[in-house]
Amino acid sequence: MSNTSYSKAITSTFDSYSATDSVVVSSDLPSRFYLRGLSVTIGQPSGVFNLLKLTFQDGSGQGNQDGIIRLTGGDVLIGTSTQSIIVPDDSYILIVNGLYFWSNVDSSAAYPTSITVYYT
Amino acid sequence: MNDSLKRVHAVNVYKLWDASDFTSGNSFSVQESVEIVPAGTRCVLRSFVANSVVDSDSASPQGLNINNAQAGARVAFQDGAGATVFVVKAEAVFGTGVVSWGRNELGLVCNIPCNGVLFDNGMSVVISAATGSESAPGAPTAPYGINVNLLYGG
Repeated sequence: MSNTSYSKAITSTFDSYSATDSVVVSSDLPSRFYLRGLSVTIGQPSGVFNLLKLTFQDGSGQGNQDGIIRLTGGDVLIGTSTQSIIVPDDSYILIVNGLYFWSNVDSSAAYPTSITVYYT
Repeated sequence: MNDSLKRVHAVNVYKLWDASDFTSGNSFSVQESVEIVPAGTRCVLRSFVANSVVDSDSASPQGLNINNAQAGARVAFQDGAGATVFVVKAEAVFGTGVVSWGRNELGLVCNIPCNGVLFDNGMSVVISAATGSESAPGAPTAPYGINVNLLYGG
């Protein structure tokens, strides 16, 4: 049953957050759940930033700290970069304190960051 | 219904070296080892993704003295005794399928077949980077590093 059941999915879009703050991915997600995958579009901030980092954490209050998953991007020519992390079908990452992220740059309303969480 | 699922742990290994870290004294090559599970402990590497990162708006890594002829970023998976089990190159590849100047993007996701690679005596990730021009090793002109996301189970 488990391997043929389906994931739930929820998408959040962010156009307003500050660098180094911990931001909850979605208030509609439970604090404890099985993380099955992520699809992320890292938005381009205002101005040129050579190296964008988006780091996911289990729990809040760890802004500008290490996390469990880190995605990187750049911003020449294209405003965003889209990436995915998919957990093998028979596996999960246990999140117990809510899924949060922090970025090394402020967000931009013109190129928002979008995060889709696949979970059970 | 989730009880038959296997729990995996997500670990990120990230390092961005300054350009000045690459010197003639280290042959313009640097590395760092990160222990994922200690020696004597069993784990199974289920999946990983690795990419190199360049903190520059240059049009190409080659222009930064990061040329594959002399340079590159590699990720070695080692057991608890320090023996290398396998190595992959960490390339800067496209995240969108459109021109992105070969910089900073996510690498290829490797879901390892047959449920993963068994490390029965610990596991460490050794990331290494070397820089240089097409003809000779040399220091880069921008910070250069590696980003690795991996999933392992017990």
